[in-house]
Parts: sequence; structure tokens; C-alpha cells
Amino acid sequence: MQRRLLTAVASALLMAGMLSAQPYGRGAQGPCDRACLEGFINQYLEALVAHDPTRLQVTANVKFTEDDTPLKLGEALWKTAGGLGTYKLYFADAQNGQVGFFGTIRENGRPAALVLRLKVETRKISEVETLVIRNANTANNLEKAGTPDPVLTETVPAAERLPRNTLIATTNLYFEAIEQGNGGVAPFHPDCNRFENGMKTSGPQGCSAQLDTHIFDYIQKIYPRRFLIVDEERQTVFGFFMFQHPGDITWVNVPGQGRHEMPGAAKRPFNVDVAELFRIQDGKIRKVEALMTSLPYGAKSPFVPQQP
Amino acid sequence: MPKSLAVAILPLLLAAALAAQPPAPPAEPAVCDRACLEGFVNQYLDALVAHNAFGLPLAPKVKFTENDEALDLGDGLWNTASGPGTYKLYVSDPQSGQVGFFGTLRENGTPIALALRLKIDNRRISEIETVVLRANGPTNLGGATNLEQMGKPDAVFSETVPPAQRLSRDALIKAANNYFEAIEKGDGALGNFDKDCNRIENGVQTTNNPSRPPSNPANNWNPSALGCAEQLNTKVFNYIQRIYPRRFLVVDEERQLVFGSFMFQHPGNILSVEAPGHGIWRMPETATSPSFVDVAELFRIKDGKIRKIEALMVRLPYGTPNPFFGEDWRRP
Repeated sequence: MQRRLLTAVASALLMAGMLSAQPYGRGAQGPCDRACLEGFINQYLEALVAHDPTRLQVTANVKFTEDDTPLKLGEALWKTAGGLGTYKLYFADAQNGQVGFFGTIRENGRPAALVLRLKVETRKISEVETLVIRNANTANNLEKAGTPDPVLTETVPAAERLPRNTLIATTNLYFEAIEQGNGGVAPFHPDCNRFENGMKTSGPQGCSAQLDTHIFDYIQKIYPRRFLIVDEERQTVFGFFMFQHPGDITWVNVPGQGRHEMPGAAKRPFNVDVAELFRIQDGKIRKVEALMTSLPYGAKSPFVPQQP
Repeated sequence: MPKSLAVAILPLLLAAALAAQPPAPPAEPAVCDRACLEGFVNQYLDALVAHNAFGLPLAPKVKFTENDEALDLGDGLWNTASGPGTYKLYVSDPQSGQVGFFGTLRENGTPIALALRLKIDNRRISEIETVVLRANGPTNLGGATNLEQMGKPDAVFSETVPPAQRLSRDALIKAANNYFEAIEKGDGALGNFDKDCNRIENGVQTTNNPSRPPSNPANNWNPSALGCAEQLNTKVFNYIQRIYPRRFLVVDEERQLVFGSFMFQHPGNILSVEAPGHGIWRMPETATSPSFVDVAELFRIKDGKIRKIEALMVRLPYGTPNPFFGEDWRRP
């Protein structure tokens, strides 16, 4: 009797010990919350720099892409990542089981920036979508900034939060405004600014007036628009957005200024996959932060089903 | 009676009507020879610059790619081509109904280089594969401007070889394939190079050219100064870990040429090599991050050896599949 009790207590203690020793609540039940989701990011980054994907708990059909090319875990950046950098920005969506990350790494000793999206199903990674910005300036700028803008990480009081659908609809207006060359289409916050690949690009005019100039008219279509991670507590929306540049708009008429010649880089066909994070405040776009990589014209996201 | 006369005349009228119709095409059109194949290239280029694909004789299901992306015909360079260039190099294979082309064009006024492959089925274009080298793109070594400064292609690419001196198609492909084996193994002897061998890549001579600066200035010796075989012996190309798929597509038997599309795979994890006789070679940055480079490459085989190589290439994300190659790029 005593012995059975001891055995029961011992095995309960052992199991509890084993469970707590498992990283990131692996095997645990219930939704994977912010801490759990961020844990998956950290686990991924540690495995990446160790060049050891076997450390990860993944589903049988895990899908992995780097710069919109499907690969096997262990290929590409998994062979060249040398260490983690200092910039880290997480965004989590417990309802969707998805988590995103902007950060810096070292690749063969050189600074690079990484976009990472994980989809987690029953505590296993089912999707890994990455962009690698192999540009030391981008990574250096992010690291010089130190920490992410606090507006991207502060918890918004529950009473001030917009619902998911409204957050997505507001974000979507940004792309409508670009396509139409009309800042008035999107509700920009007066303090709005935009950082792309580590540089402030919203210019002296600000987010809205800059779009009115039509200098972005070479971005003729932004599609697909994949809104993937809605962080309701922080009122942020993250997704991947394919900017399509056919290259045949070679100049525009800037209202009040006249003819503006497009730069050479815009006068050729190319796509840019933009990983973009939006902070919505008081129903308006307060901050845009993006990391992006240039791709051949016509490049498609492997996560979007293609027509045969 | 006049009525029956009319009836009797009717077959004559019918015959006349038939005779007035354009002649029916032969059941099996004659082979599309060199002039015919080159004509398709010229017709394609004219349509491209005119931004009008509607006049082209197209097969019901034409497949078009630009830099390994499948596009609708009329998209990509079709929106931006603004004029012809002066450099033109054709490779014709009547037996396979395919024709290859290296040339220059203008894109919104800027010189660009184009590698083009057409497949012709029953006098209709069924495949269009293009590599477009743009001034604002990566892997640009001078490209279109250099090709035009060369004036015209090396004469070894356009001379007709006497039939008695010709190798068979299979032997030509095998000779070209030796080049890729030599790169992968870092052993120039495998390439069976002619003593006068040279290589032009994106308009730049990359062999026997001491004036071309080293790809990584941290090195104190210059592989570009070496010849085709010696250069491979240095192992400076070991970062090219695999060349696959190797698609030998156009074999010009009369001119002893082989043209194809070859995917150079660079995992990016070889940072330096010990070059026999030269010392350490530190790989350039472009070689130490993961990438694929799609190389459209032309070989002139002479006396069974590789006499001349000319290539146009674009850098692509690591793992980019070629849309004409249905299988896994990870070689079995």
C-alpha cells in the first residue's frame, strides 16, 4: 500500500519534472498563448543557428519557404546562419496559432535581416515562411535602432481595441491608397511613419501626402495580400504582400511639381515580397514597418494555391 | 435541258471554287530548317519590341517563362522592350525543332541582354524560355553594353564545319557535359578543353583576362588571368556545388554547337579554398550566401574539345525550380 503510494507520487513527480523540462510546453494542451508562440520563434532561431532542424517539433507535412521558394528544413539559411543579432520584434496571434518575427542574424559573419512566420498546430510547427534580407545596411540600421518602436509592442487597453476584421480592413486601405495614388483612401494617423528595410521612407511629407504624389504608381498591383497575424492585444496586423511592378510606367506627373522620372530600378519588371507590420491606433494607421526582398517578376508565394 | 446543263456544270464550278482557295497545308510540313528557325526568332523579337504578340504563330498551349517564372505571353519584357539591339547570335537545331539566341535589346531605353529559346511544333511556337539580364539586376557583369562593344559574335560560333569533321549529337552533348563535371569536381582535365578555349559570361571574358579584377579583392591573385582548364584546377568554383538540372536543348550539328539551360546551385557554405599553387582563395560575398544562377550557355566543340563558351545568366533565390523541368532539382 505504502509502496504503491510512493510509486504513484514518484511517477507523478517524475512526469511533472519531465513536462517542465520540455521546452515551450511541448505536448501541453490548450491554446498556445503569446509566451508559447514566442517560445516557438526562439526555439526555431536556436535550431537555425545550430544548423539542426531535428530539434524542432514539426508536423509530418511541414512547409518551409525562403524568399518564396519551397525548401526542406535544413537547406539555404540553415547552412549559412552563424548567429543571432540584437534586433527582435515579435507579434503573436493565439487565435490563429501564428507568430511572426522581424530580427537580425549573422550569415557567414555578415549581418542580415530575417522575417519569420510560424504556424503552430497542436504544439507542432506546420508552416515556416521566411524572407532573408541579405543586406548589411538593413540589419545594421535595425540594430542601431536598438529596440523596436514601443507602439508596436504596447498592450492596448481592452476598451480601445478594434476587432480583428476592422484591423484587417483598415490595413487593407493602405494598399488601396498605394494602388490608387491617393493618400486620402487610407486613414493615416497624424504621427504615421513608415520604415522599410531599416530606413525611414515616409519622407518629409508623411505617410498620406507622399502617396498623393503618385511616385509609387509603378507599384501597379499589390496581390496577393495575405493578412496572416492579427495581434489584438497590441492592435497590429502582419502579412505578406506581393508588390507587382510591370516596369512600364516610366514617369508620372506629380501634382504641383510636374514630370517625375521613375528611377531605373522601377523601369523594369520585378516583384517585391513585402513582409509588413501595421499598428492601428484610434482606427488609423499609426506605424508601418516592413522588410522586403526583390524577386523576379511573376514570382508567386508557395503558400497561395496556384491555378494549374 | 438547260437545267441539266447547269447541273452538269456545277461540279466544274465547285472545282473552280476549290482551286481558288489557298493551297491546303501539307499533312506533315517540311522540317523547319535554319533559315526557318532564325525567322521565328526574328519574328518573335519584332513582336516583342512592338508589344504585340497577336501576330505570332502560336501552338494552342504555348509556355512562356522569363527568368524561370511562368508568365502570360505579353507580360514581363513584353511590356518594357523598347527597341532592338545590335548583338545577335543564333543556334539552330532543325532535328529537335528548337532555336537558341543571345542578343541585346533596349528596355525603356536601357541596354539589356536576352537569352531566348523557342520550340517550334508544326511551324508554331510551343515553348518560349527567356533569361533577361538587366542593368539594374544582380549578377550583372556589364551585360548588354559589353556584348555590343564586341561587335559581333566570335566567328567560331557561326562557321559551318565540314561533315567529315562533325561529332554526332550525343558526342557533342557529352563533350559539353564534361564542362559541368569539371566544375563540380574542381578538375580542369575532366573538361577536355581546347588550348584556345575562352569563356564569355554576361559579356565579360572570364578566362585569360588579367585585366578583369578578382571577384574578391581580399585575394592577392586573379583566377580570371588563367585559362579554361587551369582556372578550374584552382577550385575557386567549388562554391558551385551542383549544376542540375542540365538541360541540353539545342544542338547545332552543322556548327558543332550545344546550347542549354543549366542551374548552378550555390548553398553558400564554402567560404574559402586552398588553391593548389596559389594559396588561399576567399570566396566573394555572392558565393557565400545561398543562391541559384540560371545559366543559358553555349558551347562550341572543336575536334572533340571545348573551344569556346558563351553564357548569359541571372541570379535567383536558392531552390528556384525551372518551370520546364518537372522534377526535383535535388539530383537523385
